[in-house]
Amino acid sequence: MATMRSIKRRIRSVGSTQQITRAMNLVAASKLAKARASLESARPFCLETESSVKRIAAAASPNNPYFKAGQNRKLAIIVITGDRGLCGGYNVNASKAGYSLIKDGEGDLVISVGVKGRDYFRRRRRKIIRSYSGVSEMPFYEDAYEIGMVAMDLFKDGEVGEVHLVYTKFLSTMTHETSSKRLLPIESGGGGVMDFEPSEDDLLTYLVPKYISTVIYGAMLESSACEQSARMTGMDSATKNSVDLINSLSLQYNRARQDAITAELTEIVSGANAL
Amino acid sequence: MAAGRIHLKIVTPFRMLYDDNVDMVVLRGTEGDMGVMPGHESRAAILGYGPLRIINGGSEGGRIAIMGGFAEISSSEVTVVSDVAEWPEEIDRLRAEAAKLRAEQRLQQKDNDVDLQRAELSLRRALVRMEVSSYPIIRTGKSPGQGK
Repeated sequence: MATMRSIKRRIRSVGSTQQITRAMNLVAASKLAKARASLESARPFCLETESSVKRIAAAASPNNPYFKAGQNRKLAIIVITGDRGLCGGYNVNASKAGYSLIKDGEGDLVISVGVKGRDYFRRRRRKIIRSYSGVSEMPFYEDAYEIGMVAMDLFKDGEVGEVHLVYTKFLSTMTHETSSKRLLPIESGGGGVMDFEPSEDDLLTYLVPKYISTVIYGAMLESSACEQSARMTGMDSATKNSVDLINSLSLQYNRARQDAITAELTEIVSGANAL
Repeated sequence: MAAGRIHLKIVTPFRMLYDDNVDMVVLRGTEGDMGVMPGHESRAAILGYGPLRIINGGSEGGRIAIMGGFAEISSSEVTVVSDVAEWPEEIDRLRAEAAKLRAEQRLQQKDNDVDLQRAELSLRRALVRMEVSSYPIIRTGKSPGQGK
């Protein structure tokens, strides 16, 4: 049986861990509020851009280079994760989803956003062509634009045949969904008649980079809200667990104390009897 | 959707500026202005810097400064996607005038190409802002997520 002192020490250590998890929970909650606000204000913009471009691409002629998969069979995979851990399965789920897209022996390229994703692919010796850190928590459009241009250049230069994006969709505080979509080539055909102004080529040259960076921006915002809410719920359950742990440890401690008192009493009584 | 009206949506990265039915909307494309009424043929267009006019019941229904972006037009819906869109009352006229002067000065100095391009863009923005803010403030329709 554990001694009283060692139980006491454990209670103290669990207690200080609890303070940390509780503080992290509060911090994540306030960051989540911020992330959700920016997600909600940008969501209509991202959704409209995406659906408009899809309709435009459907009506455009399929000969545009943005609509055709390159000769190269390699993929570029943009994986969006967080920079920090302690947020449940958030980072691992996104990284795994990205990893499952990689085909063996094809030399697929990874563009990682967030330290955790970078480390994941580095450990597995996958080729990371570009990695970004410090942008996942509070994404800016400029960051998304830069990432988008890197991906577009890879596609345009024929380094890769397709560009995929892996991120985590924010459905509610409790439900997140890891999802992936193909950014390039954009699906075309499917009909619809549309006029283009000034011309089809000019319009697409203007629109496609905008579309790519907007989709990436939206995905980064979704992911950052997911990261914060995953951390919030994770830290909340950790705090609850530590409360339970402290309760059961205090029970053990009190039992040990009682036992010690009983033992001492028995000693005194038997000592007195022996006299 | 009410017959004879067209649904106008204006979205920017920070808010949805307009989401309601209007009688007619006049957009500033790169090739010139175009009026859009219900039943318009499908069209996608790059927008220039300029005012967007809303017309309701034959009278002015407000102007909005639009700084580029694109529009998708179908027979019943106009979607304007722009990085910046502002109502007249949100525009700081003095600031726009100061920006115009600054840009003009920079254009006269002609230092290097990058600066010239930027100055030109900011001059165009300032001119649009000054134009839009000189119209009377008319506001129609719901504009969710309103205010800055």
